[in-house]
Amino acid sequence: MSVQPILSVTELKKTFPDGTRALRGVSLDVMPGEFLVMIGSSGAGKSTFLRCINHLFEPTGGRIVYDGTDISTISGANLRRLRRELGMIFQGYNLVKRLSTIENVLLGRLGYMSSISGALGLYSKQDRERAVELLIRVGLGEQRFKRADQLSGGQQQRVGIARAIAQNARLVLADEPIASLDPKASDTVMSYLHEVTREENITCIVNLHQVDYAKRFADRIIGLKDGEITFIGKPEEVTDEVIRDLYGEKGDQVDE
Amino acid sequence: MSDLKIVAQDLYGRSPMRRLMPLWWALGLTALFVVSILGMNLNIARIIEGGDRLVVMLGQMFPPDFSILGRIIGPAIETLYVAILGTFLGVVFSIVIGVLAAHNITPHVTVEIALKGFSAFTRAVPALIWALLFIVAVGLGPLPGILALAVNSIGMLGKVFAESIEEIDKGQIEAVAATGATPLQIISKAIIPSVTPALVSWSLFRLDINIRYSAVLGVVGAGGIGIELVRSTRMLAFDETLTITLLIFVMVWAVEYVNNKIRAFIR
Amino acid sequence: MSEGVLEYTRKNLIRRRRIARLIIFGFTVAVLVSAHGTGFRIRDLYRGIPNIIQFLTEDLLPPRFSVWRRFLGPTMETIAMSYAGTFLSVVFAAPLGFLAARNVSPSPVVMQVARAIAVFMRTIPPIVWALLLVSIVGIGPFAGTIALGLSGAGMLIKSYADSIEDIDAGQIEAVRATGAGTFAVMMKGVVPQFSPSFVSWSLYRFDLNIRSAAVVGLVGAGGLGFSLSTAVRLFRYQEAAVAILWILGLILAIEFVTAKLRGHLI
Repeated sequence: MSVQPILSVTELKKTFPDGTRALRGVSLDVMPGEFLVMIGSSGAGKSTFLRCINHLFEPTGGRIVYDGTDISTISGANLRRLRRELGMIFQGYNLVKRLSTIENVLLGRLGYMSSISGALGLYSKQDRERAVELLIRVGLGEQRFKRADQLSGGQQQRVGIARAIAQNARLVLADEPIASLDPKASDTVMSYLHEVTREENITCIVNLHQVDYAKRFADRIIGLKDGEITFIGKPEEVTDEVIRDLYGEKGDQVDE
Repeated sequence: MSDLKIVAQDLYGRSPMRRLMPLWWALGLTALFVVSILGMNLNIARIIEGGDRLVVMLGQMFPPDFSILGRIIGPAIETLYVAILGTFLGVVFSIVIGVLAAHNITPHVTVEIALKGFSAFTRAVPALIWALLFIVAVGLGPLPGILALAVNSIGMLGKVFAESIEEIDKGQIEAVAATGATPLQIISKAIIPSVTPALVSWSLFRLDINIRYSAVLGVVGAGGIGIELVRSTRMLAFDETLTITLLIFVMVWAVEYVNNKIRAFIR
Repeated sequence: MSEGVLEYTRKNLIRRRRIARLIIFGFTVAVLVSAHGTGFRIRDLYRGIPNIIQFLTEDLLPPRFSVWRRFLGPTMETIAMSYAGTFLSVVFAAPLGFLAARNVSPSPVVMQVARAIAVFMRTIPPIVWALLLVSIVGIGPFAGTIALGLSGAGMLIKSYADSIEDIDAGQIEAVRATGAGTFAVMMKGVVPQFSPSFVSWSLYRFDLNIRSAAVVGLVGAGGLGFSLSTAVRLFRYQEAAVAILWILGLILAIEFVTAKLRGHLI
């Protein structure tokens, strides 16, 4: 393989101040354009893993190489420049609820603006056009001046996707994007996420609880348990035994 | 993709004027501030002089004169006494008023309206003005201060006590009444237990407020540490002023600290 | 879990009851000592009442309404003082509120310093500030304005900081994750969430300032309080009664206006 991985993580460790060892040495290469799904029970360290990559959590050990650059101890302006290339989608959507839908998508442009003009919301006309275009693509063009808290959960998450894409992200980190949604909204959100990132050729790492969605959308599945990778493979290689190992003996916990 | 561009004409949703709303607000409020200050007939020379005076005053303040502590400790304790008694009387009368004025248990609606009007009045007239009036009515000493704090406290506590009684779950009262309890038993077994936490924490909060007032009652001549404070500034003995201010600070802070501890215990 | 639930809760109950008794005992003693120390007797209450009634009916009432115009100027002055004082406190407290909020403060040391400033400014009663400022800038509403500004800032720093600490951390995290700079994170992630409580607390402070402004005047810091204390010193109680009615009306009017404004803005 001559293609260089876009993200290469080696022996990543994270221990929280209270002594919890959330990651105990995770190593993983992510290829450009890949749609990677990470599964595992809650508390396995999935969300800590994503937050260590964009340094919302500071890793306590290991090496992270993004696009050929070591970003293990990145900070300041370099960290800002890194973050704007890494879009993040949250379980709780984390839209700024009192801003309008379009304003929320425009937040994705802040990383490209000076702090002052960003703070004053002086977005360029191109940025606004792009934001509207993205909202139309996730089916929310008509809702663009609605306040974010007036949208349904599924709609809010679609705005979250638009926000990440507006960053011109090259890698999207999605942390349990559908954990708080009903099945129908989950379907829509996952489809949009998959479709938009495929069209824009954006690499995507998605944390999921639900194995069926993982199998449906993933190019590759990672199984995480107690802060360690216990499974890497194609969706069809995820057997019942793998699932039992990841989620404990009771298989019915999977759909929680 | 080109048809998307066509739909994307309306990018702002609000007119430019409306988008700048925060700016207009800021400008308007600042202009109002300037007008307010200019309207005060300022003695500019005196204010500019104030800079020098401040330096002189600060120079005189340090080091604070702690030798007066022996003399001011008496008035300081009196200040504390006045706050405690004023709060106590206020609480006692407020409980009566609260019970009689609470909509769900008031004996008659005219009583409710009269008492709520009375509390509104005593609340709206500031404590120091009550003190000013009581000095004229009952003479100097701690008594006018105690009465002023009590009356002003009634205004606030009467209202909140009545409100917390009104918030009691109706079912609780009914359940106790259904056992055949007398009105007095209903009050003691259903109403008092459910309002006690609110009652205690409001009373403590009022004590916090009253110690601040009590410290400055002397300004209008009603005794306590405030008199010492006024006297020291009149005599330009700012080293004493600082000592007294620090003492007031410590007293207020100590009362607040103790109250917070008790409130945390109740919760 | 060596002891059972029953045993544990019982011990806890007994301990709590003991502390409660201690507190009640403490307050009882405090009240008795205070009564003794100030020479307060219950009979003072009912003996004082005839005096108070006599004062009310003979000296204070009826208010000499013919002088009402004389208080128009001082009323405007009181409003101006309260507004200008509120403005100063808000301008001063807004940045410090951010520094004093645990979740957005740049460092714990800065946070502690900002909180300490707040405690100092609000623990000293406004009238004490006024007394000091009258010595510095002279008698008049300017001293009152600064005094209200200082004590108001103390309260607002604390209230702002507490409100900021209550906001949703996820929304801030999301803005931070876009690569936005610190100032942009504040304005786009924190400010939209904080603005309703900001408006609410600032209006509330204006409300309180109207009351305090009426009082700081008593030490010569201008406004209605000054007119009132002058009238009392000159034994013109019927004029003082008019001043009190003005103060009362002003307080109620401003309370009404700020309540309307709050409902409209939030």
